[in-house]
Amino acid sequence: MRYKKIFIILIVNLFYLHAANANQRITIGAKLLAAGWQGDNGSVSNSFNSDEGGQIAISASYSLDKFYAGVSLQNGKYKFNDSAPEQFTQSGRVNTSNTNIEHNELDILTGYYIWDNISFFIDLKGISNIWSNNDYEQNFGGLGFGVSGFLPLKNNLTLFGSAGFVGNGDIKDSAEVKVGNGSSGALDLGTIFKLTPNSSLNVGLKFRTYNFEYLDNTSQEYSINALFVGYNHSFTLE
Amino acid sequence: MMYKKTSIVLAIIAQMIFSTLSLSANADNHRGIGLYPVEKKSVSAFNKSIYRALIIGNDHYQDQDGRWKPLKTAVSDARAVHKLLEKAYGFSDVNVLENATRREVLQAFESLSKKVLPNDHVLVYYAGHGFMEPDTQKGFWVPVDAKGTDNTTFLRNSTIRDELTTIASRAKHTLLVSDSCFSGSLLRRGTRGISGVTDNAQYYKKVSNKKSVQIMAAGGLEFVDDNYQSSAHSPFTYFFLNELKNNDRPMLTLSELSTNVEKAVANNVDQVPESGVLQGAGDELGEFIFIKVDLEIEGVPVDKVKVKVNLKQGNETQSRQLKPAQAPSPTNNNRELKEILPIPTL
Repeated sequence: MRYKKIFIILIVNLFYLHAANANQRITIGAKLLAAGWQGDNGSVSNSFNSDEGGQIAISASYSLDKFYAGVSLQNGKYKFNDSAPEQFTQSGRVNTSNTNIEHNELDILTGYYIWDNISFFIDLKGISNIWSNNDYEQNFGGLGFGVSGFLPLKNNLTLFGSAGFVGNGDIKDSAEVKVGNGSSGALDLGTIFKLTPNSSLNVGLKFRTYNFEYLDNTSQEYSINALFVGYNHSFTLE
Repeated sequence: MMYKKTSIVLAIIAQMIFSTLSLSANADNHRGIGLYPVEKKSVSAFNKSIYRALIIGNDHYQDQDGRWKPLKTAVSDARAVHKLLEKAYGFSDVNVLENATRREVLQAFESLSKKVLPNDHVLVYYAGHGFMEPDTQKGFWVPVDAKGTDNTTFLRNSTIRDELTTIASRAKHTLLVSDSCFSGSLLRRGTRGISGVTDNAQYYKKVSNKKSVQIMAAGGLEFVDDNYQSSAHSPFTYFFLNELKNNDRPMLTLSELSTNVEKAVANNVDQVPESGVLQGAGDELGEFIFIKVDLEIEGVPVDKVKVKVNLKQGNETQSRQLKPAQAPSPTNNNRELKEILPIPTL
C-alpha cells in the first residue's frame, strides 16, 4: 500500500512539473551493460559466478529546472554453468545449477538538485529474476534513496556518479507471496562525453549489492557489477 | 506479478510524458500545414535570469569563386568574446559557432529561441563578412557556405530581425552585436540617441526592469577593418573587449559601453560604430546590462570580492550574490549538462 502513496507523490510531482510549463525537457537514453553476477548462497550451498551476462537499459526522464522524474527499464540474461543463485520458495530453498536467469529492473524515480551539481532522489525499485530451468520467478521491490552528482572536467568531458540504497524491500515468489526481506546498495561512476548540446555518450562502471534474509532465517548475498556504455539525447518542450 | 501491477502506473506516467510532448505538436484534424501563435512562457517569480549568448565567428569562407576571402580575426574575436563573457560577466549558456554555414546559424537561432525564458538576457554576436546590395540597400550576413553574390545563400537582415524578434518576445533584454561590413544596415529601420553615463542606482533599476532589444554595429553602411594593429582582433571587437575588460563597475549598460566603444573606434580607425534599437520588437527603452562578476578591488583578495545586485524578477525582488570563484567557467555549463546526464538508478 505504501507504494501507492509513492506513486501518487510521483504523479502529483509530474503534474506540478507539467503545469509549471517552463524550460521543460525530455531526455531519453539507452545503455548496454557487460555484467557479471556473483555471490554466495549462504550456509546451505556454495558461491556462484555467472559465466556470461549482460543487460540492456532504456530510460526516459522529464526535467524542469532543478526537478526531474523518470523511468528506467532494464532487461538482461545471465548464464550459470555451475552453481546458480538458489530459489527461495514457500516450501524452502531450491538448489539450482546450469541455468540461465533473466534479470529485469524497473526504476521509477524523482529527484531534485539541492546544489548546482548535486541532487537527491527517491527511487521505487523493482527487480524480477526468472530461472529458465523451471520458469520460477522471484521479485524484489522497495523504496530507495540516492544522491547523484557530476563534475565537469573539460569542455566536453564530465565525471558523474550516483550512490544509494534500498533499505528494506520485500522478496516475493511467483505467486506474489512474501518469502523474505532484502536490501540493496548501488554505486555508479562514469564519464560523459558531450557530443552536441543535446546529446552525450556515457561510459562507466555500475556496482550493485544485494542482501536477502529469508523467512527461514537463512540469507543470500550477491552482487551484479557491470561496465556500461550509453547514449542520451534531450528534447526541449514548448 | 510485480510488473503487472506497476505497468498501469508506468502507463499513466508514460502517457503524461508523451502527452506533454504532444502539446508542442499541436495536432488537429486539418490536413496541410497550420500556423499557430507561439505561446508565451509563463513568468514565475522563481525564474532566475540567465545570461545567454550565441556567438558566431566566420573566417574560413568556402566560396570557390574567391568572392569571399578568408578573414583573419573573426574566429579569434568570437573566442575572445566567449571567454570574456563567461569569465567576467557570468554568461552561463553560451553557444559558439565557428565558421558557421547558413543552416547552422539558423538552427542556432532556433535552438536559442526555444530555450529563452522571460527574465533572460540574450546576446548575439556575429563576426564575419557582410554584404549590401547596391540597388536595394538590403544588408546581409555572409555565412561560410555563401556562393558568390547569390544573396539566397546569405542571411538577409530581415531574417536576422525576425529571429531576434522571436527571441526578444520571450527574453527580458536582447542585444545584437554585429562586427561585419555594412552591419549598420540592421539599424536603418530606427535608431535612438545614446544616453550618457550614469552611476545612479535608480537608473539601473529602471532600465533593467524595462524590456530592451538593442543592436550595436561595427559600422554604418561601410567596410570595416579586419586585423587591428596585428592584435588578432578587428578594431571594433578590440575596443569592445577592451571596454568590457577594463570596466571596473559592477554594472554597465549597453549605452555606456557603446558610447565608449564608438569613440575609441572612431578615434583610431576610419570607421564609426553605431547602436540603437530593433524597431518593432517590443523595446521599452530598457537597457541590456552587463553585470561584472570578477570585479577587482584594490587591496581586497579576489576571492573575497562579492558583487551584490538587486534583480527584479516577476513581482519579487531578489538579491543575488556572485563570487568570482562561482562565475560559470567555459567548461561548467551545468544547466546543459544536467539535461544530457544518464538518469540515476539504484
